[in-house]
Amino acid sequence: MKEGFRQSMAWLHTWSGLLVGWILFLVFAAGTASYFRDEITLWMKPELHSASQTHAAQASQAGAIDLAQQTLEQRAGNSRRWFINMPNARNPALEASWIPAPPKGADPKARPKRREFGSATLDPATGKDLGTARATRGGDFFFRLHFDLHYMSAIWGRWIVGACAMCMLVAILSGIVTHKRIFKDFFTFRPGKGQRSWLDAHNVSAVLALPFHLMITYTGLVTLMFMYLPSGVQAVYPDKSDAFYADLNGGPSGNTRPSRELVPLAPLGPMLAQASRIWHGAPVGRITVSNPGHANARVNLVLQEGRDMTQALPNLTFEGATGKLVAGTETGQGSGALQTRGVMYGLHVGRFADSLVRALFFLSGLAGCAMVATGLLMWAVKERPKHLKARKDGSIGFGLRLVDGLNVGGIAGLLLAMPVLFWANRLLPVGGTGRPDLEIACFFTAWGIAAVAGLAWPARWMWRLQLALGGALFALLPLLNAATGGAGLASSLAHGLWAIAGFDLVSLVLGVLLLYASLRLGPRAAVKPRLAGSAA
Amino acid sequence: MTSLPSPAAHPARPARPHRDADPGTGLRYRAGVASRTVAAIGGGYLLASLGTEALARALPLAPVDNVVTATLAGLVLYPCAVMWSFAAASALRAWLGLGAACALTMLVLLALRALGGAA
Repeated sequence: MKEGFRQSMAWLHTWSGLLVGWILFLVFAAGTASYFRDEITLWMKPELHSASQTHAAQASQAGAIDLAQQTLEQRAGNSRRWFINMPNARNPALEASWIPAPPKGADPKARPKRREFGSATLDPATGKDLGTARATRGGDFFFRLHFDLHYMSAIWGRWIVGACAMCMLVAILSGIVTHKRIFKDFFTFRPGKGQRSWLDAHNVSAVLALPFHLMITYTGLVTLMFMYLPSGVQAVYPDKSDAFYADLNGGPSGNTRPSRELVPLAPLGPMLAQASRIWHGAPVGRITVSNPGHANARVNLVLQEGRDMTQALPNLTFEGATGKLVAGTETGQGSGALQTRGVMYGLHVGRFADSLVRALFFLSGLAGCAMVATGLLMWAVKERPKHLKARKDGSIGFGLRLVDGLNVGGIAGLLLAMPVLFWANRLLPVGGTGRPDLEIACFFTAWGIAAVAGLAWPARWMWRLQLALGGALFALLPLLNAATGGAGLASSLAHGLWAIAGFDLVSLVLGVLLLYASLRLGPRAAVKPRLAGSAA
Repeated sequence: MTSLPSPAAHPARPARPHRDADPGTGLRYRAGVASRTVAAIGGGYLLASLGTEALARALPLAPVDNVVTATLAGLVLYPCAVMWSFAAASALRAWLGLGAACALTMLVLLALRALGGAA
């Protein structure tokens, strides 16, 4: 639109990235945290730290499933649906949860919110309820925040995040075509040179993990693509989206009304054993029972995660009343198209990943955060000299001031709010109703204050203050953990509780990095204006 | 429409800075950007939507595979349409290009719908 293709794409890259950059930073940060969703949840339930220590030994699947079934029949006999997560390497406990029975006279179509689910955490060997843990949404908060946002309906959140993700895809693609020397720039870093340094930092964080950024953005859209782009579904399955999802997922959804006839559920143990035999001895991961205790009960068993990249894992459906196998797949291999989607979905959520790959995903996610943040900062750094030149009196225009303020609140403010959630988790009194929401309110209150302060004083000292606060809160989390009933670093390292030790160590490193960033922004390190103003 | 009066296009008055010479302020420039943005967001989505439907109807695979393949492709078509909207030499050409692509896809789609109805 200006002189040539490359310039117009550079323009598109700038604006497509800038306008949604702050939401993208949130989505990237929350998504990166979600790779360790289970570990975050465990950290946020210090009552379970000692339990996970003693029950690291694997209990037999057959024994565990019987215990889960007994517990669910006692505590959720009237529920419409049960979920059982079998113990695995990342979570040694047996997790049983259920959708509570709808109250009499309630709208049968109204679906309960996720946080209203009942749940029990059981010792897989003895069936003892370990669930004396505090009420918290744990890592699930970041997982949901990543695509549903918060304080709005999930549908709105998903459309907003989807639109931002599409802007991100446009920004990545136009960023690639803008780039003249993608290989050379990867090895270029010129620190302490104002705008050039920001450009180099942006290039390195973007190019370093470029395959990841491209993959994660596209596959993120893939996870909800039938909502974003429904024309294909509507054309081929007019008015039959249930039939489409049944074809897609290899079986009916099980979201059927319970039949009137009551028939006790057959034991789940033999179904589990049969499934394991069909899968050549591989263990079952997740079990869903629809309409337990009714004649039309269905039991769906899914292969344990971590054995296949695809999200479309093999699953088997049994008749609940008789225990007869009615549908399912031995392997997850569908058609080419279904496999492609399954692997893309799987790549995005990364549940197949072992510790090393998971850590690499996490680091790539951090690089994504850095890419978005440096891009946002670069816009302000580039714009400032123009404003100073045009106005002479040292003031800046409204747009730049707004971006400055949003940068402080959106980047430093979020990095301050995230540890506040963990502090609230440990310091709020245990017990009482609405505790999970209170934790989340603390997160958003801290972020809100940081955002308002950032918009009011978008200055270097505000950056330093917020980064230092966030850094201190992160770096002190290991101490907080040990002081408020969790397994401290000494204990967790000694007992091999890698999930808890990992959380503490990563927090410490993040905290130190943020403190270092705050220190680097000190007056002596200030960039000379001459360099900051030089053209790229 | 938004092609800017570059210095070479006005050899008669090269020294005099014209208001339009700053690409960030000209009204025409801004209208052009707004127009391209609407083309990119609205027109791009329409094209992606039509393209997805046409592909979903045209592919010879099983119904569910048609839908999945077409939707995966549609997600790529959208950003390409957005990039075209801003790469085109003028806002008018951006609209014309997108309009032509949409019209062509619509024609194919109508043919496919007619065939699908007959079968």
